[in-house]
Amino acid sequence: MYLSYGNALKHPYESGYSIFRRSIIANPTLNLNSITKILKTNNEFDYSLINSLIKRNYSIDESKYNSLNFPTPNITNEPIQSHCPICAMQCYHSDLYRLPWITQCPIHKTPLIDHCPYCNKLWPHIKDIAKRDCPCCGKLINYSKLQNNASHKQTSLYKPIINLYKFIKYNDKAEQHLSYYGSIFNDRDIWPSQQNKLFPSYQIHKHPLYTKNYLTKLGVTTTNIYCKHFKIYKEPNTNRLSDRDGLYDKKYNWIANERIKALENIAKCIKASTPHSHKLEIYDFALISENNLKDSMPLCPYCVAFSLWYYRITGSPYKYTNKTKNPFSYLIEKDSTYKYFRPEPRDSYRYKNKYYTTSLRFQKWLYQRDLQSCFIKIFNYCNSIINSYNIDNNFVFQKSDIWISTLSLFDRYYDETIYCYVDPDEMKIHACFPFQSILDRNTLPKIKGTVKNCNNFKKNLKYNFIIAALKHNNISPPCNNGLNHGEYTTLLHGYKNSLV
Amino acid sequence: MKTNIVENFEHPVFNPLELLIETPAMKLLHDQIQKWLWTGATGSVVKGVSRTGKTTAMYALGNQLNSRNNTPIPVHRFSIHKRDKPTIRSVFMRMCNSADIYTTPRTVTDKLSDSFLHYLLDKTHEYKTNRIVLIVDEMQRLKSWQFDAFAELYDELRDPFNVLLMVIFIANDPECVELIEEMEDSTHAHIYGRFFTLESDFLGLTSEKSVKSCLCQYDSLRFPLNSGPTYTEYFLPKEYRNGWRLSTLSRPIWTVFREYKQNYKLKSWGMQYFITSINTLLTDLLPHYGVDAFSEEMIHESIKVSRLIPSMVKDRS
Repeated sequence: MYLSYGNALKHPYESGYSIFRRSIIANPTLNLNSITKILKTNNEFDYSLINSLIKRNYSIDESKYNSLNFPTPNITNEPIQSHCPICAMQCYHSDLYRLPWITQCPIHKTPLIDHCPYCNKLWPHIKDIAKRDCPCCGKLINYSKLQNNASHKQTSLYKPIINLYKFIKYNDKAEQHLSYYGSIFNDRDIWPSQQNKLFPSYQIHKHPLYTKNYLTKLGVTTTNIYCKHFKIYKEPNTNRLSDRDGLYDKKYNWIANERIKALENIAKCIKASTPHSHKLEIYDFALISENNLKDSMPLCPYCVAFSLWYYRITGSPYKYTNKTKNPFSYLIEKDSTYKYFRPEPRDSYRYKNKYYTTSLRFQKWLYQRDLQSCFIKIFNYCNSIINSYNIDNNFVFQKSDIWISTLSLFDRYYDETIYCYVDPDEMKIHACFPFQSILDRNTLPKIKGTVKNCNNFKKNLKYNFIIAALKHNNISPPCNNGLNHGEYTTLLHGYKNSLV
Repeated sequence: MKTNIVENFEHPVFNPLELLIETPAMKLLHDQIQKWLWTGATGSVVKGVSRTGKTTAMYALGNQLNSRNNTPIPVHRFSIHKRDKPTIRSVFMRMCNSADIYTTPRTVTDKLSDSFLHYLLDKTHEYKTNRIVLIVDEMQRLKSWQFDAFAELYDELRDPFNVLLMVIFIANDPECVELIEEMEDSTHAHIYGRFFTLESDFLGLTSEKSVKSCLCQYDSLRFPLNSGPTYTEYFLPKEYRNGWRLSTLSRPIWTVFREYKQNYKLKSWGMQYFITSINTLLTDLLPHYGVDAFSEEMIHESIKVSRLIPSMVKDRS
């Protein structure tokens, strides 16, 4: 039985989605089961129908594909969120359209949309293409709307796509990325992936050829990237302690001051976003049970986030018994691996078995940003929880939901928008970042009814939980872990000052 | 020797489908089609009397057609079958079946058309060319309205795929005349202009020279291929070793056939009748009676065995 791959509809740099769709179009007499059957009988059936089709399709003129450096199609079952309607009419889809920072079609300059303009349905899932009778997104194709073969096969038409792939692939091999834990990795945690909206902004910063104007023409929006340079020093002793062992040593006595600075900054920003009558206070949310939440909801997201941040940064992780009913307990408690999920100073890194120390200026600057970034993420998380309560009017958070949503937070308690790379020859760290300040007066949203909610909550709780950890001896004080008495007092003093 | 012959039925001489004797007409047809291709022709009709070897000639064309830049051009052949309901759908159905495309009795015409279109496009992609040749055998079985199927394919391939389709219709001479005349009507102008402006007559053997050319191939073709004896040597080994060749009989053979040609007003010697005659001569009469006993009587007998006379008489009447 003959199986066509729709080679007439073949385009350069097309995705697996595109190959699959043209195979469906080119075999109108076959359904998916029959195609699977043919592939099976030819002993070329792999783990998926899509994969087999792509493999077979590429095997026809693999050499040609290789010579053009065609990227391997992304074999994925994920639905497509955005697509160019004109490309869809041509039975073309590129994996580039899946990237969040590409908002318009590089070929046709039309906005990428989430639904088919012909049938007004969302773009079909790869397995639903065969079920849809639409010439734009389904198993049909309008041949009269196809661009003439002579032109649509020209590589020049697809040059923007090719150029974008070149742009993405560009990598300066000389640079060394600074990882979170100090070692050198090829892909630093902080380095945004292609899926990150900031990716083109960083990439254009280091790319020698591509200009911002050119990317704008292709429908890619970029933000300005700032750059700071810090010195690094070689460490003579290679038998040093690990970062964690020496983390709270005396040489880190500056972190309390940085925490106070961050705390003051956050308090100022909250003040700017809330009415004057709003009183920012710290609660011990660890002691709150589900009943408290039901009685006194809605909460004030500013106070909640501020309190959680405070405990997160200063306190020792608690061990709670009623955590299943408390949506915030996972933010305060340490996890099963007993890791401290909070920003930590980064003072050194290892490269070719040599240790380098970063300058104190760099450590302070980066730590300050990480603290602020940590607050923004906690605030966004709390805000979403409180909003979801307000919508449902019923507090029914399941343990698994909370756990899954907080997992991502644990890994990102640092400023992930900073991209640092090391140049050992110049003994420098280059830090690139898109925002001069990540937390300013306009960062936090102004939420209606904050004061009323906040006062109601305090009234219902009767102030039992306000700074509860500092009042009761039976609970570990939040500030003693990692701080000596002087630092603890300073932080407490600084905190009180900041609220006055 | 006779026992060996009987045992070895795999010899091409005993398998008409395996035996391919190239005739000057075949070469002429190949050159003609090549010329049409190079001049951008979109279709043509090759007609000839039945049993002259038109179909064999078309199969012999194989993949020998090239574009001007020496790129091979894909060829797809199929023959038309007579159906109770001669529809456009039945033509597409026949096309799909010939290409091994999956169909069901309920498959609609659009799907059949699209499937075959993509089949042709795949072929052009495989050959990396923008030309494709479709050979349609037994054209006389088509009805005038069914030609629209080919016009549709031509149009679809032309735009947007930029592929030029050339359709060669093979037809039996007397039977197709009526159809061709019908196509000349203005209502079929779009079909006639595309496919019927070029015509070629396919003939069998027309001269002693062409007969000799065919006989020479008996003296040179070998079985098994390359390593085995020639066809003549296989059946007449002793005579072949003594320098005797079948091609030496070309003059008497043609002389005898010319009598039939004149008597029955034949245009040419159909290849099927010629091959049967020569095979009878080579495998039965000459080994049995010996080369020295060769006479015109043997040729008459061979032609009689080939059933040329009854078939031609019937045709001409």
